[in-house]
Amino acid sequence: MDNIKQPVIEIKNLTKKYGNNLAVDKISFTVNRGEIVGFLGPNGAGKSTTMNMLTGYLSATSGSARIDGYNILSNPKEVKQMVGYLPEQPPLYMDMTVMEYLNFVFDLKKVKLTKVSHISEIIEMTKLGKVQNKLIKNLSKGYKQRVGLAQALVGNPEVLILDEPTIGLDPMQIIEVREMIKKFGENRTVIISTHILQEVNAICDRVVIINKGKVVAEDTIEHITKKNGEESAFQLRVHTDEKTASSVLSRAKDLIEEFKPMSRRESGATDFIVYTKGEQDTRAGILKHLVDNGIDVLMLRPVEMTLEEVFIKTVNSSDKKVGKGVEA
Amino acid sequence: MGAIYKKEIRNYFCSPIGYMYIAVFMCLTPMFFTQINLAGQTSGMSGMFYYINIVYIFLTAILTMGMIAEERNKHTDHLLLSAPLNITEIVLGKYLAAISVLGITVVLSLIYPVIIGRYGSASFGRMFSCYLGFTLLWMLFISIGMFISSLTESQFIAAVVTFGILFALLMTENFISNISNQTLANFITACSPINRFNDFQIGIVFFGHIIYFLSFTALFVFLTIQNVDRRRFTE
Repeated sequence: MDNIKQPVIEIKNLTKKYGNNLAVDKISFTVNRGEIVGFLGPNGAGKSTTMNMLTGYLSATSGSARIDGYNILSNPKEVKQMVGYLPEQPPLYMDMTVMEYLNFVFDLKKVKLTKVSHISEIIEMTKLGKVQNKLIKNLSKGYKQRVGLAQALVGNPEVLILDEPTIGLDPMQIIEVREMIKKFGENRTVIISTHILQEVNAICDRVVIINKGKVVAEDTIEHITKKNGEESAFQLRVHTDEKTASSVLSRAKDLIEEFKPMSRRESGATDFIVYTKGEQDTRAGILKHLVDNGIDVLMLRPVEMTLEEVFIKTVNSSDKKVGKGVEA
Repeated sequence: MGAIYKKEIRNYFCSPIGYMYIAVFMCLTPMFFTQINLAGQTSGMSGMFYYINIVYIFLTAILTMGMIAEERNKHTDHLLLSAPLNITEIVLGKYLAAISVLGITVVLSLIYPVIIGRYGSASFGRMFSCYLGFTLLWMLFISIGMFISSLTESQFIAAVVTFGILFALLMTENFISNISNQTLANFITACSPINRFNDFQIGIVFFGHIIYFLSFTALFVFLTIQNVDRRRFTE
């Protein structure tokens, strides 16, 4: 268990410049062996650029990226041998069958395992058995994505770098792909980029949030949502019409900061978003107030944080810091 | 490199490109052969090669248009560039595959010397010289086509530009007399591959010409490698 905390991926001041435009600005973070790290950020934040630099597709302007001690600049072959990469658009040859494609990737990566058994193992892991002799261009998007994943697994790489692996899939496929990634992550180190916080919740141990080419937060999910969480916002469902509920809620000024009606979710009931006053938990007080006024409460639950909310908060606070720095 | 080579060959012959290349060649050359050699009662092959060159401009533009451009367009370059092999291996694998397709047509066209040898009096030395010049010329032109394919993401643009440039190179001797500046005319003559090709066609094998073709071919392969690498820094 000693090597669990050992860093496998070490990124130091990694920078990518296009002319005067800084796509990635001195990014630094590490990923430990066996971790699944979520790499979050809005479009254009530099996620794909960072991943492309890590895999050797792009060259960094400055800074270093090491995988298992090997620098991608000075030892590209060693690094590439250790990394399985699924880019944003799976790099598939449409006129090959799944089998032909995986055979080609096997040869391309100069893998030293037994070809037939290794490929059939991967096909089994990614559940591609049914389509292994079909042309890739005839596969559905979900299958294409799986072939992309299978390609990344060829050669049993220690590190998997997956760029938005669930984008554009239907909910069933998303769940399937997530399950697979979780399984692959059991004995590998994984970096996965995404927009979706749920996804991070479902599979990642830790998140790195980047914006405008900079790391703005790096922590475990629990910490990051707690730190940024709006614990003061709740969804309330009451068994009455909007008018009555509103008038009762507006009388509890000492408990409620603000409330907004939401769209109807259940017939005969009304939903509100309620922001409680101050830092204290006033849920019990609100409940009592409602019951005392003869309103049946059907539900009261904290509003789930979305990535957008966490993200806007994190980015806003990072922007403020930058602003202060400039003024000083 | 072996994996890339195999993939490219597979690509040529799982798509119409490889078959079209060979089929058009095999359909048109008998026409030239019948017209020039059989009807003209000559064993010289330079006339036939003159016409084949024109057909080859089209065929080569089509053969090379997708070599690098398609990988970028379909994002499969991500796979190649993140695999544990260097760019030289990728580019050489692709170049050798294209040369192999050229090689197939050259071998198939050996039927004509055989016919001439069987039914006429052939100078095999001169035929060999013709073939050598032809192969060297198109090895160079394929490397130029590959380089142009590395400059764009669009196969269409690559094909059109390759066609234009190869056509201009092939026609240098036709417009050289219109250039009044003697220094420029001399410079173009010195650089022109077609003048050297013509020497091969009349049976002269200059060692310098062979070096010329091989070094310019190497230059364009090298430029392709550099250009693919350059994109890693600028894109």
